[in-house]
Amino acid sequence: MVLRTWERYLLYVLVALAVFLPLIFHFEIWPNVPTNEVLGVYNTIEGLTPGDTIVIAVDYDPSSMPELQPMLRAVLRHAFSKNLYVIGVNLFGPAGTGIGLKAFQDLGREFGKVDGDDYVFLGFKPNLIAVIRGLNDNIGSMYTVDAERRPTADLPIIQRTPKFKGYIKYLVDLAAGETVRPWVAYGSTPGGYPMGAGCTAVSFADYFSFYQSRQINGLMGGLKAAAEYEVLVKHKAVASAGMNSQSLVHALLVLFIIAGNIAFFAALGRKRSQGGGV
Amino acid sequence: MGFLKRQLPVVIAFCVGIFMLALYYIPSAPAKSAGEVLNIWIAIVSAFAMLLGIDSILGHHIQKVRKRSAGYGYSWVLLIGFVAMMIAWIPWWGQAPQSTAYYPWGGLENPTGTFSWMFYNMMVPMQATVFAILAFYIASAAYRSFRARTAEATVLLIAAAIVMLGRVPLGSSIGDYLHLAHTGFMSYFRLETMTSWLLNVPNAAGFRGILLGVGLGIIATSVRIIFGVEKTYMGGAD
Repeated sequence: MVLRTWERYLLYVLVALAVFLPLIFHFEIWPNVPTNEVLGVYNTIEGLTPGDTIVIAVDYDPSSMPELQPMLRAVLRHAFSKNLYVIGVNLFGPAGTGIGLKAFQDLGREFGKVDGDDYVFLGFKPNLIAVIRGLNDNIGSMYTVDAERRPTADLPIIQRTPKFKGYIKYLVDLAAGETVRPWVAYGSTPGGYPMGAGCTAVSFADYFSFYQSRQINGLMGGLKAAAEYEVLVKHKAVASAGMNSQSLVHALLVLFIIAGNIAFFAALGRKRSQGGGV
Repeated sequence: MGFLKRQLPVVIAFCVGIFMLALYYIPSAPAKSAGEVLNIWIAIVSAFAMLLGIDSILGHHIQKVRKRSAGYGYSWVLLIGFVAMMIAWIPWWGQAPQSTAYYPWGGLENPTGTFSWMFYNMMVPMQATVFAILAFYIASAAYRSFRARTAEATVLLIAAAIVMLGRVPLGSSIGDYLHLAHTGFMSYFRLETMTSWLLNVPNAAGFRGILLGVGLGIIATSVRIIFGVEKTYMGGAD
């Protein structure tokens, strides 16, 4: 079915209004109740003791940032408020280093954490399978310097945690691409540490088989999951602000599908009544 | 030359492949350290793949500009952007409080540098914008293409509508408006419960099948490469 120009403009204008109006005129009528999948990540971090070390893999780039950055900030906020040590890595693409580093530094400053002691962002390395396997055995062999080009051997957090295996208590992979499976297969399972994952809404369905088999004990999908995490850490931010827009756009899409089908079957009925084919 | 081009890569692939495979089954310290060294080699070799990628994309766009092919203006944008980001990143070695390297213009170490400014204020919003435009295409596609033509398409359509509404706070609230309980039999009619079932049962089953297929495919391809049956990685020429 080919859209007429005015139909296309109407659809786009309606989507734009559904996105912008709730952001301009904020309202809170639909509570965002945390789901079991998000609670899996939250409860694991909540159950750790101060001084434990967790890893957050910032495996996304700016294109997925609107969905995954709020998730990263919420998880970091939770970890720092629990006085956990956090190691960040990026095995997806070079552009992920900048956004990961910024989130670590922003939240680190907010909580008065020391860069290199309480947290470190190691940056990007290509070939994630080899790097994941290497990190399990020796962080220093994979990363001689961190994202700020400081020798990792001099950083207190790396001195306390020389490798993932046996040292880290939890891994959260925030994935824009196909990184959860390698982290499960080559990181979490042989390393013996539990793992949770976060991903964009479009790839959310891909990872349920890992969640169902408990290879990951939590799964955060899209902006909604980030908003749920914000509710859990009692700090509503950008993800919560976007929930009304997302609700309206999703409802609008369902209406578009219904309208499209009504138009389709009406046209089909007309053709049949005129004796034409489908 | 024939040996270097044809036989040697196969011999290297066979030896390294078998060695890496054997390392999994040898729980000794020397084997472990050999594995660590090989992991570093893999990371280094992979870094060269990025150089090949840069060479490929630049070569393609330089050709487009030279031939003035359709849309060559966009190639200019890419080339200028590439050069600008590279120049902004040029390292200037010197003293810095916490770092061995100091980048007055570029590098993420300098949050006020040109590179950081370009990264956070140009590259990040542009990439995010391109991804966000998807919402408009999805809206258009939902109206144009999502048709209940067959029974299978109808099931897909209903499942999609349930998941779309069940994955937003509005969907949960619809259950509350209809006074559907959160527990017991009536909870099965809540959109979020149906969404959870759809994702956890039929969806997970389907994806597990796909993943098993992918896993078996990886094993088959690896065996073919190790034993020299699969040689496409050496290139198609001569």
